[in-house]
Amino acid sequence: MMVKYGVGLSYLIASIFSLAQAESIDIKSLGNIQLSYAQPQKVASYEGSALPAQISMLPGSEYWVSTPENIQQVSFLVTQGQMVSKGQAIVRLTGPEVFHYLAQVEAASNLYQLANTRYERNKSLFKNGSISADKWREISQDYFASYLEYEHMHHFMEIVLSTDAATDSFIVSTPMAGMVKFNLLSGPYMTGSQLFSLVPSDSVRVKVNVPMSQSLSLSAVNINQCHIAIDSISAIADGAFVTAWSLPVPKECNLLLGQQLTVIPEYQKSVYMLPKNSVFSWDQDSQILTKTGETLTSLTIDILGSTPEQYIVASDQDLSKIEVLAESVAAVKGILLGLGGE
Amino acid sequence: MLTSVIRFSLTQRLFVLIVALFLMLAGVRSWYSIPLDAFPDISPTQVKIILKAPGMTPEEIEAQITVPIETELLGIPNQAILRSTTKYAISDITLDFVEGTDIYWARQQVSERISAVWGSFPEGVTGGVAPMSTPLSEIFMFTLENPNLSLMERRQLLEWEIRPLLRTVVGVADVNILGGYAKSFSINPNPAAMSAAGISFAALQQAIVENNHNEGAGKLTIGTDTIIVRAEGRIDDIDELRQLVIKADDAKVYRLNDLADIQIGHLARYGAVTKDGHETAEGLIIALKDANTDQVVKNIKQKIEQISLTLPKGSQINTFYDRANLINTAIGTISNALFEAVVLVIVLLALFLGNVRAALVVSLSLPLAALMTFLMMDFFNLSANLMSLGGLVIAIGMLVDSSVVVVENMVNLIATKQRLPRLHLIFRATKDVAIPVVSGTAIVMIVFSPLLTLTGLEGKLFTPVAVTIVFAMLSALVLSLTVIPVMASYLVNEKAAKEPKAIEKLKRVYLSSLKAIFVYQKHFIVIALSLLIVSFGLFSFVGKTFMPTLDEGDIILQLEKSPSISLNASIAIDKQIEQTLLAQVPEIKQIVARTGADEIGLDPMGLNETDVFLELIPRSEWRFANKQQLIEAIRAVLVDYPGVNFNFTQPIQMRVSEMLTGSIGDVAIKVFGNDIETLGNLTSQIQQLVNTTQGSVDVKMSMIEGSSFINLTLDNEMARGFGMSTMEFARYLKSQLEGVIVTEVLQGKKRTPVLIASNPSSLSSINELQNQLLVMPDHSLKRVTDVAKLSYKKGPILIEREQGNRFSVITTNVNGRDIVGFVEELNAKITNEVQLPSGYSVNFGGEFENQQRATNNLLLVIPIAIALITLILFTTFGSLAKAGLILANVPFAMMGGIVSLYLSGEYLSVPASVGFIALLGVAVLNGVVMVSYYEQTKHMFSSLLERIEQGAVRRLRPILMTATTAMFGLMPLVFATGPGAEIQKPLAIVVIGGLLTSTITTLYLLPILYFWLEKRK
Repeated sequence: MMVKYGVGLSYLIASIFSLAQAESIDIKSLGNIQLSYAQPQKVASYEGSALPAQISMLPGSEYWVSTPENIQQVSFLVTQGQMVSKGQAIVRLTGPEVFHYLAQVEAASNLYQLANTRYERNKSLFKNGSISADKWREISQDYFASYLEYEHMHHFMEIVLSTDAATDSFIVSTPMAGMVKFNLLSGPYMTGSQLFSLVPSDSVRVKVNVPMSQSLSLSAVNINQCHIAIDSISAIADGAFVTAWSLPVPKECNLLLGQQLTVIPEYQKSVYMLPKNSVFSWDQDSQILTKTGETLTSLTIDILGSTPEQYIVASDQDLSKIEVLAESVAAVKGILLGLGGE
Repeated sequence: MLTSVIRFSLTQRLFVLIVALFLMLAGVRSWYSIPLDAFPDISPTQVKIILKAPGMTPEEIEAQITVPIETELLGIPNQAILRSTTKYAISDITLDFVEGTDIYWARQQVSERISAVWGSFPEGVTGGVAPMSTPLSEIFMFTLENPNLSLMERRQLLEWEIRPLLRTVVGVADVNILGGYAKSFSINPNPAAMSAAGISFAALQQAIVENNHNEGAGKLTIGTDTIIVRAEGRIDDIDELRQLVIKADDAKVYRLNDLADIQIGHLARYGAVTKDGHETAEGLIIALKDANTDQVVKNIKQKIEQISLTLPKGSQINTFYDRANLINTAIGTISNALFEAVVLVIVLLALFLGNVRAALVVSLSLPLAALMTFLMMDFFNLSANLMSLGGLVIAIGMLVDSSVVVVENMVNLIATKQRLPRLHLIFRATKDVAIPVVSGTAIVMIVFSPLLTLTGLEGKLFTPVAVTIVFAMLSALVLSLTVIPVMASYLVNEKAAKEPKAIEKLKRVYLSSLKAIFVYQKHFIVIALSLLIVSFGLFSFVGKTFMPTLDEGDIILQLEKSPSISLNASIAIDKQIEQTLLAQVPEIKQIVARTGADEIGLDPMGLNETDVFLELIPRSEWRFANKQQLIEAIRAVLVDYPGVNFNFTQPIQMRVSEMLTGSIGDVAIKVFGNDIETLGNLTSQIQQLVNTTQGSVDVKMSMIEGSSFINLTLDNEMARGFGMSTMEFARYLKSQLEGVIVTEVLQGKKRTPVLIASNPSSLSSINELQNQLLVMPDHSLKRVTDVAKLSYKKGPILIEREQGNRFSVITTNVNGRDIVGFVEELNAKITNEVQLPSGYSVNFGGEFENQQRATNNLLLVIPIAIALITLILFTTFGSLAKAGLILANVPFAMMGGIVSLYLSGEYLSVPASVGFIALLGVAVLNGVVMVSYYEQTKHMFSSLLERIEQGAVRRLRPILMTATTAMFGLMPLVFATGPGAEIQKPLAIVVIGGLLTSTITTLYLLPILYFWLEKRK
């Protein structure tokens, strides 16, 4: 064990001060230390640290369908989250109230027909002054009330695919294409309860909270093998984060709405890739040793991220044309610390 | 009583011979049964506590672990010194007890104290009392080679197949596994999934622990039977671990697989092993304290042969350190010396006695005394080693003295041709010299008794020497009065009484020279005294050191790199150096390097430290004449690797140095105080002074400062809002960086730790650390930077403590001058130039400390020994003046010792001091032989001068015989070159030089002084 004995403290302190101004070492003085160099690889983008994200839908893009009446039994005919086409049967609503509703629709239709006939007949009489203005207002009010009542019921009936009086049920279809999202209730569906919603497929996005400092350069997110570009970044901060939305999630990514996950952000910034072995710590900085002629000079860099073998670094200097020491860096650091000899 | 013994022996000759034969056989048996080792057990009663606290900084460990333990331990009685070293993730506490303390009692005391404070330790602390070993316990090291097996598989094989089998070998305390990858089931949690599932980190950990459990529930009685019922849930493999249910509610079941990525991984690595530039896995066998090392190694080898048959195809156990080699070489060196000494002594006896039969009788005492010594060593549990056998070699020349005196007297008596039966003459001859023989032996034993009072390393080393000499001398004494007369009765005849012509001629030359000297008495005295003064002047030019470095045969190269180096970078440099050394130094057979800490923690090195074991080819194949030249060649390679500190040592030397002072170097200057920064400054100032002091080389200071830490401080306002505590935050971070072992999976005899840890490559920069995702206790996701502030802090790399006080240390070797003078000069400089704040002090240790202790011990005990010798001499001669006359020979003996040390270039060391002690006895013995004869012949000569001259001539042969047998008995040690020879060499040089001068003074000065003394009457 040789534990505790090493460089003199004073030498160490002196070295630290001297290196703060970038130290140079003559390569010839490195003896038999094996040296090899790497050329930093300039890249236009890099992957950052994992960020928490969620597969979400764009706010306001959800299309809701509500029950017209109290429903005794709701049987969904597709699976939760299934992509459906417009007009596709989606749910069977069953119960006595369904029959009542159909009767109500029929009654509303009849009432509307009656009010319409009466309205058309009295329109010329009113123009001739045969009937008073008060009488015409009463006829008109009656007509429009029945019209609105009928239209309201008719709109729902437009998505009713079929009715079955024998079973007091009807089948509801989808008003539009998209991902179906049931509103599963443990109790009965009362009149006006939200039955299901449809999410347009292009509304399913990756929602990711990005640190403000990196938000501007965020260009895409990577999830496993799936690369999804960023569509929009909020201009309003939530604490130190801003919310970014990706473009629609491609089907082949196999991501499900509501899924929480971590994503690897990809930042659009010109950086360099360096072998991990070429970086050493000095005081509170990360440094590399650049080769100029027969001299190695220390240079401070900023590590932004890493891959298993390389660091992603930023530097004030253009590193793409210089060579960086990639072997025996720790031994050279030892020299800077004053180590060496018996 | 002595007369009765001699009479009984000569009347019961057959019985005596049978007993002697029986003792011989028992001695042979003892030789084969006594423990064999290279060195005596030099360790004090020492208990080591190794505690591992992964992820904790030295200051945290010191405050929470080291200090509480030290406080408890300080109350244990019989303790000598308490030391500790606290580093990142490890606390190494050593408690030395006073000599004679029972090791089992000591360990029990320490264990009890640790148990008392264990509850107060932070979570995750492991370890305890280290195996019962000594610094000499690392007896066998090997690597496991198999190109078809991964490093993890090799380590698994070592850990679960080889280690358990080797631990069954009697005498093996433990098997340390180093290098490779310790397999684990690694759980890398997915923060997003955990957050979505509403599972916190703590809940995840708890669920894994609680579900990996089997427990007996009790017994169920069914009719007349009782069946045991147990609750079973233990995980058997990684697939079961993946399927472990972490949370289940009405609608959802969350399995571990849903929340984390589970892979086969490895524990955080604190060290690695490389062999010839490639990573490998190593086993290091530690022997129990007091084990018979030679036998243990033999048993280990047998076991390894058995194990090898069961290993996967292509596996090879590659031994690179085998203590048996050192034992065999050291014992071989000393055995050769012993054999050569015996041969030389027998030849001398034959020459002096001029008769083969007489020489044979005297020579018989050598093997018989040696075998009886082995018998006693066996009886008193003394191991055969370099030192104890060295004692026997030292004694060889003196062993024959008793027999020489007895046989010489027999020969002389037989030569008188008295008409008495030969048996009767032998009885009379033996009886006449019995008392001087016993007195002489007693003097020798008293002379060596101071060695028994030595303490510390010198005591451990030289007590066996003294004990063996005492055993041998006692044996020789008994033999000279029993077996030797019996054998003489069979072998010595009248022919033996005839003196050889060479001796007669020598006597004539001596007589004429003595007569000439008597003419120029005063001139001779002046010359003798002048030489004495000159020699004492030479003493100041003789270098002083504690102990010569023992050549163990092997070389360890210690490398030290940048303190913050990563394991991979550290290994990369090691590999470069290994490959270059192998290419450029063909004397190196293979290189095995150990970087960082070992598994048990007995050697808690940092990642920047490497011990490189160099296994060498046989010396006969070297390009170099000696090891020093080889080291120079290696040094020449290493200087081409700037940025790496290096140092040469040897396996045992390294451990002994650490054991003795905790510091390596001739002088260790310890600065005690509390504040790390102040200690750093003071150490730095003192280091400058050491550097400017003449003779300082290899100056090193403990680097207590210089470590950088990244502090993550929880933002309380922010974090508490989410229910996050600092402890939970720290635990989470630990799982991300270090990994947290939460449980184990048992698969047969294999135990695989289950580790919560992030992917190592995912966290390799500050940026990534700050952006690491946390699952907050409220299950929301945050980044580290959202809840904690990052800052940098400087802190100590290590904290060393002694007797509960912090200290830093500067070590230096001293070259070209004596250590004591160096320390005195340095101490004066420190006193004058360094302003020590209140509460700070400086202490000197290292080998200097040992040397001082040894000197003080000897200065106290040697005068007592001299007083005892004086008492014996006074009792023998009845005159204090004559006793003084004999003692006057001592300074002249010292003179020879000093001159021979100076001429040989050897330093004054503990072995040399022992040589001077031995000289005391031999010098006195010669004087006794001479003066006793003068006293016996007082009434035989009318003229004083004639009595002195004739007496001196008559005593020439025994004096020359005892002196030359002692000198030539030691000669093989002077020329021995094998490992172990260097420790006995200074001793032999001193004794030979001293004997040379003391023999001259006995033959010439003593007669003159006796003449003056008698004439005055």
